[in-house]
Amino acid sequence: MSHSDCHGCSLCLLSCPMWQQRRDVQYSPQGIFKARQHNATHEEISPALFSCLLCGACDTLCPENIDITASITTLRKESFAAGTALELKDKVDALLALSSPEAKVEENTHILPGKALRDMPATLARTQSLLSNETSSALAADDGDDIALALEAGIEISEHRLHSFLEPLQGAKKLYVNNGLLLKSLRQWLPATEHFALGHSLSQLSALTKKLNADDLYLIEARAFHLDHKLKTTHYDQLRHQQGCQINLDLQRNAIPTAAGGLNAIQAMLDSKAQGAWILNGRNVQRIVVECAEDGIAMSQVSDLPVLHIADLMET
Amino acid sequence: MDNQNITADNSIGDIPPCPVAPDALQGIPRQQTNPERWQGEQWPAFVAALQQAGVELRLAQYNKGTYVTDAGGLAYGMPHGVVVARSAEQIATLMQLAQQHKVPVTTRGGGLTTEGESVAFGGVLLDMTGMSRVQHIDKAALTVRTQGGIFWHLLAEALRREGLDYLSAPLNLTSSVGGTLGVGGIDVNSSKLGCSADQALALQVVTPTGEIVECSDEQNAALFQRVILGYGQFGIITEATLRVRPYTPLRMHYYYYSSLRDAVEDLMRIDRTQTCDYTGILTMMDKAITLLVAFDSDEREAEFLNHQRKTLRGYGELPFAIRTAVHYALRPWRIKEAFYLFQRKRELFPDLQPAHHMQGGQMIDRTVVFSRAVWKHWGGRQMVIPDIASSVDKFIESVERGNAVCKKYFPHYTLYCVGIKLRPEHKPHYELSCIPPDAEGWAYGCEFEPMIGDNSYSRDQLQSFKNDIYDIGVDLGTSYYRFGGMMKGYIRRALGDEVVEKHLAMKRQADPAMILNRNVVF
Repeated sequence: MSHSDCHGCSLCLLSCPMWQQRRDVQYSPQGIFKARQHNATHEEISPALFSCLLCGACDTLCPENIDITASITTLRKESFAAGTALELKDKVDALLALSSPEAKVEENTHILPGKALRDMPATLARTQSLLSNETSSALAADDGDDIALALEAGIEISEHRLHSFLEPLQGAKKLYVNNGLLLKSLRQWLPATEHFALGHSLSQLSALTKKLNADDLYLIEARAFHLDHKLKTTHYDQLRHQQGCQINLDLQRNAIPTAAGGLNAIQAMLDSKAQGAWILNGRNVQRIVVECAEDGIAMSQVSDLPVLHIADLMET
Repeated sequence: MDNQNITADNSIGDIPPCPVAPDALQGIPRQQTNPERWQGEQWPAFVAALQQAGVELRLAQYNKGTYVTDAGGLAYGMPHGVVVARSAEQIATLMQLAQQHKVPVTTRGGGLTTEGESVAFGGVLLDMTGMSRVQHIDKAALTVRTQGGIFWHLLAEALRREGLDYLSAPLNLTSSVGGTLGVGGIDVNSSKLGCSADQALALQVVTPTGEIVECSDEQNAALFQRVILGYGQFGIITEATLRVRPYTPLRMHYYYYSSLRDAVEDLMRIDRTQTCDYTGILTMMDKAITLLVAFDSDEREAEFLNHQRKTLRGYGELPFAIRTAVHYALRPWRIKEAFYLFQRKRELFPDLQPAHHMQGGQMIDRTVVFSRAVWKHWGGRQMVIPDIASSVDKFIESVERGNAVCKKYFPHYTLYCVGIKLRPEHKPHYELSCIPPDAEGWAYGCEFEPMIGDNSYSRDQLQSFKNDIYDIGVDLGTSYYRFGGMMKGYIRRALGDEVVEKHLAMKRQADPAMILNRNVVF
């Protein structure tokens, strides 16, 4: 199933952050796909195409089972090939060029926390400690943030760079990955390894979740969540029922993403403050607990409430 | 109303003869209502005027193509241009210029019509989803003010954060509030609360001549009466104030029948008792008929189970399964049908009680559960759902005759029946609408939907099926829920000349150039 199979039911609009902000069908998977079906050029769909956060909520809604995020990525690749959005491509390419792979770490379990969590050393140390209960875990030398960005943008990753990223991870039995897009690709690249969403894994530790309460708003990392939607919905619903906390789930049981990090940080197409305001709208909470450090930064910018990474619940 | 912007035109009300040969439809009075199909006259001047007024008009093929058909997938039409609704003022300007230049304007919310009512055959397509924000929730007064283009689902989303819920809305995630108020809106609690249109307390409307008017039963009541259930003929709903209620989860029960008549009789009887908060019938052909009842509270549920349950002729799931197995064991030549029923049940029922939308045996998100099931199990590229809306007295015959038509055309189909409690004070709203004129107390609707699946049916066959259903309405003197577009010829036939002429006269007065949603009713 590809974008040509879209018959315009509009269901994807219901959880789409870009449609929520703009209220313009052009800024939705349906709008992009229909435009392509009616021969829109890559340039014409470019503003909407590069506004998409690839949060994956639409993937759970499409009755035609179109892999919408994959279709969007493909269209982005085609856009670059057609000479559209080259300025954005140059910016991402520049970041790709900056990366420097490092040496292999000899551990069975690797954690890829991402830059934002690395910038919070105490939280990162707690995360590592919490995920090392059974076996020791190592922080991956290379988070692959640039690769995640390239995946989001639809930019080809050189074989050399991909090799240098994957090589140190080859021997790992378990990978804890912060970025949902990277997690999806790592499952394909390293099929023999067990892959886990970092935030989701922390949310399974009762030592942490027992400290959540009815005054908390808990923010799920949207991309990883939608990747395993059915499975994880049950888990988070239980968490909500047990602890009474609020969660950034909509009525469809899709996670409302912040617009933090990734491509939107390089070229702001969505208003991250508006996105944060929608997450908070109508919720009476005293504290925000996030799975993803980028989400924490975004929520701090729209709210005076204390914002905690889930790993930091250990210290409360 | 100020009609100064309307071009004085002597041709108003001067209707040319019907182009169809006089003997084409024997005995059926016909009259061409619109002067002629619009051919794009004055379009360039209109575009220039609109641009000068600062209204964005999208003209690219890819912009227009998004709206090329509706949920029915049988009517295809292309607008000349698209305007995404942003404000009442913008729409007012659009309508003033459209009147002046006689350019048709077709409004579209969720595009969930099935007879092409929201498809523009030329002119401007006005996409109302651009105005889809909740403006104000009054928890004390239990009301919400919202823009008209909002999907009911998004309204529910905003209300739920306040512990509230809408009263009743169509079982479809992407129906818009404005579109629904214009046509009725039927939910499984309509037998208790009435149709969605009955929940509207006040509206902001842009008239066909471009005036912005606030209306309600107390203020500009005549306009309010015409716009509610007015099929988009008398104005564009830009804002609506609706009654809301505290949110409650649902306690569901299903009873199974093998007799359509028994099920329909039981449905209507328990509706009279008002002991259930939600009722409806959903069938797999006429072989497995499910009566759904549900409750907003434990007390209501207990009261029903103690007093009303024993009066129902429906079976529980296991007894019905045994009964059905015996039925087909004695009729082995119909094993394929038995297999279909089994398969269908296996696929459908888990989706009617998905774990993540249930809690403690209660359904916590009925809007999502029902709507997703509708899309998954009844949706498709073509949605053929003719229906009949009748008075209580005519309902059983309507259903049985419609069922016979379904059987004649398709091996697999579904009937969906639900009651609508009528509000006597809203009688003026109901005239020339899905509410049949002879209905008292309750009206009943039945949708007849073939399970098209991967089968391919010609457009002729689907149309012929629809005509057969609609003919029952003409014969019995009922109305229809889907009421316009390609089937608009049936309105005059079923409801008679007098009421159609009356409303046509009002339409001509309100919309001199006959531009607003011109292909829907008249």
